[in-house]
Amino acid sequence: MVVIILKIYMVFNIILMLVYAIRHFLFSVNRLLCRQRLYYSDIYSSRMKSISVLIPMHNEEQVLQYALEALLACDYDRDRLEIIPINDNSTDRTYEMLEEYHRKYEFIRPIHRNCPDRGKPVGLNGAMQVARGEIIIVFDADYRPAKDMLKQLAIAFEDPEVGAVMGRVIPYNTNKNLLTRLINLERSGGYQVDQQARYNLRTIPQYGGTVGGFRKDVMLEMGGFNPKVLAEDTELTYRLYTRGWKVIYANSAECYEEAPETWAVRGRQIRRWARGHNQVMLRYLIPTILTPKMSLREKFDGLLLLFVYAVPFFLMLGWLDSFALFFLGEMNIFSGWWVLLFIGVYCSFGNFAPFYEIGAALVLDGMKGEIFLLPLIMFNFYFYMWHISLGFIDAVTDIITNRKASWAKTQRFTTTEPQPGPDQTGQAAQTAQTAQAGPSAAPNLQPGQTGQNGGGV
Amino acid sequence: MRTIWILTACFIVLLLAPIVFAAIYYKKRKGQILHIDQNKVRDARFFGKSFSAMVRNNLDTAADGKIRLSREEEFLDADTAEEYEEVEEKIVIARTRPFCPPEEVRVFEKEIYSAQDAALLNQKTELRALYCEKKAVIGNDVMIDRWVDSADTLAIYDNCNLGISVSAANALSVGHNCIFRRMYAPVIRIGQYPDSDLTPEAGKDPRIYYLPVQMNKENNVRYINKERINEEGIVDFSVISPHKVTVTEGLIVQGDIRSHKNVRLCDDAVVCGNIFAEGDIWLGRNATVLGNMFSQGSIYFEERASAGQRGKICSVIAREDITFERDNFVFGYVSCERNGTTLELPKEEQDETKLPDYRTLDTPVGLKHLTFNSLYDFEHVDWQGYRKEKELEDVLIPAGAAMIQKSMFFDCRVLREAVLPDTVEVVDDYAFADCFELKEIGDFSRMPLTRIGTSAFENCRLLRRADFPAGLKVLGGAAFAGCTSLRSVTFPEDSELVQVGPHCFRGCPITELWFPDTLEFVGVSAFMDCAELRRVSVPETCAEQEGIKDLLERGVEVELRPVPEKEEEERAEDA
Amino acid sequence: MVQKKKIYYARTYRHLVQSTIKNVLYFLLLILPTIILYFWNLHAITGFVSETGVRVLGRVFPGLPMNIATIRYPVFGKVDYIVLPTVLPDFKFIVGNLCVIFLALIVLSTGRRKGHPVAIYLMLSLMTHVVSCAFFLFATNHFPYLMLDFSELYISQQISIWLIFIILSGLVTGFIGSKGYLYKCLTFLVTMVYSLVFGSIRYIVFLYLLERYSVLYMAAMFFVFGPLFDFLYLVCIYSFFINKMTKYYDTGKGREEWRWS
Repeated sequence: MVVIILKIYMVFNIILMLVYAIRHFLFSVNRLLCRQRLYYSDIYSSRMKSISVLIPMHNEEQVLQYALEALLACDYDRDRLEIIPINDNSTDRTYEMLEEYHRKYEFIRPIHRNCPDRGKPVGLNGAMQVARGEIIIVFDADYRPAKDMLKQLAIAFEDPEVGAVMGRVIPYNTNKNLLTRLINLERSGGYQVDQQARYNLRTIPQYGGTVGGFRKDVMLEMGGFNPKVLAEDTELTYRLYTRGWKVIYANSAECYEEAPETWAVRGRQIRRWARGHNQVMLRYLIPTILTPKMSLREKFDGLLLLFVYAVPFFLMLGWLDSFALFFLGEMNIFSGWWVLLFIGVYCSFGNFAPFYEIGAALVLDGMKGEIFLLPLIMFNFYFYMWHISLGFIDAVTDIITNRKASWAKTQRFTTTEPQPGPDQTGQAAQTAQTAQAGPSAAPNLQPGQTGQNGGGV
Repeated sequence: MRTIWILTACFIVLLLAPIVFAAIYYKKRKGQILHIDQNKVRDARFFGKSFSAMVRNNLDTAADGKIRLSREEEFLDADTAEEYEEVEEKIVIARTRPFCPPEEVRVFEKEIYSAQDAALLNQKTELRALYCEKKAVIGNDVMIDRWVDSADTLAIYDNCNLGISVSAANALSVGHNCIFRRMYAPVIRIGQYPDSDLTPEAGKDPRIYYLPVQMNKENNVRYINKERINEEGIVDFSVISPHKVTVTEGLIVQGDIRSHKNVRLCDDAVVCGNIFAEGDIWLGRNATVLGNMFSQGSIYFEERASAGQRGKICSVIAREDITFERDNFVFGYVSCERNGTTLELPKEEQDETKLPDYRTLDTPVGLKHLTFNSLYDFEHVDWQGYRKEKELEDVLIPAGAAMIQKSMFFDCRVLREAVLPDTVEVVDDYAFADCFELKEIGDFSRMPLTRIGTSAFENCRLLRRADFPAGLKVLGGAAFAGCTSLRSVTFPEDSELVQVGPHCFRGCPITELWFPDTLEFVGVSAFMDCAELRRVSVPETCAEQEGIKDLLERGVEVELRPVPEKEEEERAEDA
Repeated sequence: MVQKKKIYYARTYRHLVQSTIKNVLYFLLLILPTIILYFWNLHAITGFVSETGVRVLGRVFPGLPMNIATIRYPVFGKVDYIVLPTVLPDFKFIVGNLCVIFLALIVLSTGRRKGHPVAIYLMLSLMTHVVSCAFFLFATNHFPYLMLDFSELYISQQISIWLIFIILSGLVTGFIGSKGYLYKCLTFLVTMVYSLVFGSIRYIVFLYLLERYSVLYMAAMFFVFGPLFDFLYLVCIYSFFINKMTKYYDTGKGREEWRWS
């Protein structure tokens, strides 16, 4: 009996992996060779909506001035723009620096929060109450928006169907170390190919929590962000879709970000994303299936996307499963030649699909050389599988015990001049502590396809 | 035994080679960071502006037929040139005389710069690019390789290939049978000649120009027809539909249309908002869309169909083709990724024998004097108001108006006079911001004002005094910031002012200020850069307000008056 | 006209021209024949590998009884594999292994290495071996496999990997624009040659190790040095290919292959 269950699980695992592999392969081919859906960036219009730019901050004295100066240089009619930095219980000079900006510019209107109820969603909810713009644009404090970024994002809302828009994120500290260089590759694959293909195919491009925007009234009507969910961005995506709105992806709205520079920070970030994403999965699984407001393809891809951060956990189980089967002497139980094919596919195709995505992205981006790092990403997958599995367990525990997740911020590394652009020189790592989320659930190469090998036969 | 060792060694090499190679690459080479142009700002006249700026800035280096642009280049001085080559390989620069090349020249391989008018009237001329400071005319059968831009107006006649982009700062006309990719001008007449006297507004319901776009939505609609109109005869909602959407003849849709398939506007239909379609968009005869149009397919304009409205910029964007029949108008930008065409005139209207009578296009006259026929008209103005009316000089706001809406006259740079009637209660945010020349706004003290919004009069540099009425409670942030002539600001003794927003009087040359006892809030930097401010009198309850603390720090004399308790009690009771 | 138009599209919405005919031809003329050839020669290939294995191992272990067995799979046809006697580990050897592993685990889980992806990978791999050691420590006689089973499992896994690699490298090289067919063919061939050589050598080396040091390592061979390492070279060759294509599509000629949106 046990053996049969183990075997069935193995088959399930193989199918799961195949499905994701095909999905990735289709995305890559679609982005690389097929007709692209254009974003609205070509529209010039005097009918722009009024926007409020929200920047959640917690102890951001190292980076906040760069973000604010970049925003001040942005091209947007000032009667339709306000900037609201949200100072969330900072203990460094964030308060003083923001007040100094407020002293200089009337339309920079910081909000200072000094209460035990911390976190990005709570902060955003508070700011939305006082924001005057129809559209909320969110940036993290370590982002450096280019001059036309606000226009590019705001124009999306001329389309009455659009509930949120997401731009493309590009790390500027790529040359820091191996980790940042690998993240650079993953980001390329995740945005240039994955997100754009989802936009092309009209499935579900994901709102990523930063370098993006959403309609304020819709969000307030839905009761704001849920402070219990760690991946407030993914939650927003599903909330919008299940209510008939769409999220669109703006590949032309490119913005520099700071990628995490140490494995420990990256591990925590991944674990937090996995936890948040899986919380959303557990909450929105049924609504996604039942809602009449999503098309069939949206539902299908929506479900796959919901499970993205659960799959590595299933694969981890699969690995243990094949292990058990091995010692039980059941390795050659799968009789029939098709199983051979199956296992071959499982071992190879599934693993390879994300690489194809990255390869396609680099050809599109015209980025030479970096592709040679690809074999090293293989080892990353074990790392992701480990941390994502932990995040999955966290999420399940959250739901069972109904505990509230506490917020952890992604550590910032900048200490010197900002250098968005090539020739980034090294910067000493600095620590900042807890509160609010980092760039959440960015759809980087989904480690769901990590794929465990050896688990076959 | 040796064989197995060799095999094992091979195995290890084959096993590790990929990792070792990747690791070596990582150590040896730096990664590439994708470049983002942080300073890029999109501008539909980018080509012309950047080229002309480069030439203008280097004109003084022009000598002996050479000019330093990005590198030293030979140029042809069109003012003095007697002869042209048949294929002109140099940059051409005309400074003092209108540029009008002789017939023998067939090809201009480089850019042409004209500081005066320009006329390219020879058939079959090919040119790379042309910038013209004044009016330009392009005759029949001209082929443009890259772009043409005019800082005033540009008229293009028939059978031309318009290259990548044609644009003009004021107006553009394009004749029949032309091929284009992008066009930009505040007014574009398409399938028309410069002497055409058509106007897009003729015969249209005047209401459409000020109906606010409705955000409430209806889903899954296929036909927008008479059954859906309200008592005013208007369809007052937006439509989102996975189906093909058709708007039947003569209907007015006061919202946006979003379709996952095609959208078709039958003859004379009007859409006040935007149209977004995954499929094609078809505009029937005389149909109008006031907002933007975006299609992942193609867009077709039948005769007299138009997009946008005077004074505003909108865009018509198609991922595939855009076709204009004739007599069309677009206010703003047209761009397609495949084929843009204007159709040929029907055979019976063509007159082969007649020589074309080339003319320049007149600069459209902007709105200078604004009056409203009735209070209703004023109150139902489009939500964008008259912001950025570059030529508007005076406005007559009708009596009875209670509110000046948000951004109504924002950035009307030459607006001198906008006398507010004695009925205005609220001047909303940014209503007159950046009206640098605004001098006459009437006497505040005679109005029942209660609120002046954020930046309502910011940078009105010629405002001299503001005598506020008693009922005014709120002065918004930066309401009078940057009013560099505002010397006198007074409040009556019974003033009920409660709030002075941040940056409210920043940079005003006020010398003395008195605020009533009711004042509770004075925002940060309220009096920043008021270099001449000597004395401020406020109730002592405001001592801790940021704006007042600033003053104390700067050493301005601040009188902190004790507040009579009685009034406070009364206020508490009222509250 | 005047000057040759340069086509240079921004990365945002450009995509490559695709030629269905060329793609179909690529599959019909290269991939499909390779698959057919592969099926036809599978018996010969495995036969050759087995014979070589027997010859090499025969020299290392003179006098050891070994022979070549044949199994018949539907579709795949006959497949040869080597049959060797099973060697079980003794107690001392297992304990020795465990000691080394624990030392390694301690090293990996401390200091700067902690949490590093390579450390995580190695630890997971070592854990596999710990389980294997534990199994043999307590239940040596219950170990369910003979060398024969391993050999058969390995070869059947390997033939499916070979087949899939033909299809996979065909797919990933095929769908990347309609230029650079020389590189595509080259990538395809190099991948297949590498795969054949690697798979065969690994087979012989594994058998040697299992015969020499006992079946204690069987689990590690499946789970640690299994198909993951097939991927490494696949990805590595693929990265050369992609780099070449990226460069090509950035040259004057290559740029004409781009289309906007």
